[in-house]
Amino acid sequence: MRIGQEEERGPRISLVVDGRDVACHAGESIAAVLLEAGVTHFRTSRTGTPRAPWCNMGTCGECYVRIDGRRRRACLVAAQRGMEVVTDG
Amino acid sequence: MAEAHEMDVAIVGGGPAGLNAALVLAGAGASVSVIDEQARPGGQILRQPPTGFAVTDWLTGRPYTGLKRDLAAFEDSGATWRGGRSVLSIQRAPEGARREDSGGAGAFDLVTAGGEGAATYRARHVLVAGGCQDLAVPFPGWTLPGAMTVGGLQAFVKSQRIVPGGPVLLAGTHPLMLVLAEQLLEAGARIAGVVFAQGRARFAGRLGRGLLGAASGAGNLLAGAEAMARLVRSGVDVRFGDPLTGLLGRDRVEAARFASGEVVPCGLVGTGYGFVPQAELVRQAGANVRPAGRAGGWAAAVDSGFRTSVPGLYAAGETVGVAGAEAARLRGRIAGGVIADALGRRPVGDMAKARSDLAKVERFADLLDRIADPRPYFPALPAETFACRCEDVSAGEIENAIAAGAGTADAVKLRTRCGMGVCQGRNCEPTLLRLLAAEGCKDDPGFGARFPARPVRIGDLID
Repeated sequence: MRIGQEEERGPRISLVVDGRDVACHAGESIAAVLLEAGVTHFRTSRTGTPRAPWCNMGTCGECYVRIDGRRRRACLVAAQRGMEVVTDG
Repeated sequence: MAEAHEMDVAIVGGGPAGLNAALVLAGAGASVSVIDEQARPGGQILRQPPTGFAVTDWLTGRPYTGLKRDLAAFEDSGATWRGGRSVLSIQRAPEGARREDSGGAGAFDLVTAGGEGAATYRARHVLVAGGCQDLAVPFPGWTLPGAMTVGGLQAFVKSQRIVPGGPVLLAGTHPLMLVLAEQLLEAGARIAGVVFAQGRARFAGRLGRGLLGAASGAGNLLAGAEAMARLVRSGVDVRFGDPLTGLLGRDRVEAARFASGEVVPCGLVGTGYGFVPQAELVRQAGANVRPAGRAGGWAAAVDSGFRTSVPGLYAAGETVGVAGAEAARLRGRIAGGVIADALGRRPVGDMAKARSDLAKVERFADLLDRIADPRPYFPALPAETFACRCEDVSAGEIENAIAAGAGTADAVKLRTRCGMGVCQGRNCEPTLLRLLAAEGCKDDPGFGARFPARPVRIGDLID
């Protein structure tokens, strides 16, 4: 759930998450964009269990996804137009 | 790697401590850079919305007023902001590279990584003001999507302006849950409950004695009591004396189970058992640390001038012990003054007043710490529950390793991979030390601190 008025957020953009277009606002963290798009499975752990953001401050590494080909912590990366995000990568 | 950027002082962390130190130092004419993983200054307490957002009425509460003033002053201070950059290590610069006029201290090289790759910063003095993190407390179901720390959940509300799911349940021992519940309520979230593990008498009794005894903290304590009253009036279920035992769900959180046997349906959970300092960089640089206190973890050991045991390396804010944002501001200010002195510059501001204010604030912080003490309420840890969430190492595997003779944190790490993941042992170390202590291996110094303090692409380091 996004809080407050739409006008309070950055410009509307879209990016590609696992092959589908996802609308969001420029500057939102990739973690926020994915959660708002209903993604709950960011990475798969060594024993095959699904993981999603936990600390949301760059410490735990549970939100690792592939962004434009590089594995990055989704909570620390700001959304930009046209980014390609692959979960479970 | 690119050539080094040089400066008088590098400050790691742009929260209340780092910003206040930067204000004092920049005011004294020193060249200062503040390096932080977040894109914008403020730290976790003032985690700012992204650039381009224009949030009206952002963090209007009284506790944020002074902090927002610091932030505005910092923007005009002349200190350099280096956001979106993780510090991987702090090392002594090579002998020949040190400047003669360093006031007895050595120069340091900070290796950092950010969006554009690695960079090295060379500074005569370094202040680590790395803040704190939620104490990681494992229990069955804690790795399910939808389970978060209260700090992480609060950052989504404050900065990203989202509530990522619901209904929201908050459970643990820390009064921050009351603050977060109010922010969630204001955001329009559905709250399934706020459940404290400790009994009401323990909570309210200490609160009451604190009100009488800690005059300077009384305002904050009253604010907490008022928050609780408002939550209850709004129909939020605030309960005491029922420790969380686990979360239920297949691929995500569906419910929480409590010691009373009650099962509460929910889609998003924040657990809050207190906070531990981020002191890895200090440890890695070879400076002494000390046990941080009730919640566990390590704090940088410093003298009254916030000097660590390594000359030229200072630590302030929550890195020297978790005491809240106001203490962090004051500690940063004092540390900034001490470093300015060492540079032969005249610090601005009333340092004696900062020191006497700090003593009062720290007394209040200790009261809060006692109220939030998680130790009697750690959930039982069944053998199959992961203690290390990076490497999926279960409590049972660790107990077996200890039984087989691994009597130290590093020995357990070698045998099980516990602590070898991307968090560098930050999250599993307190649990591991508890499991070791339960088997008679007390006073373990924890994992040896290693490079890098944050994950980095190998390619970034060898470019």
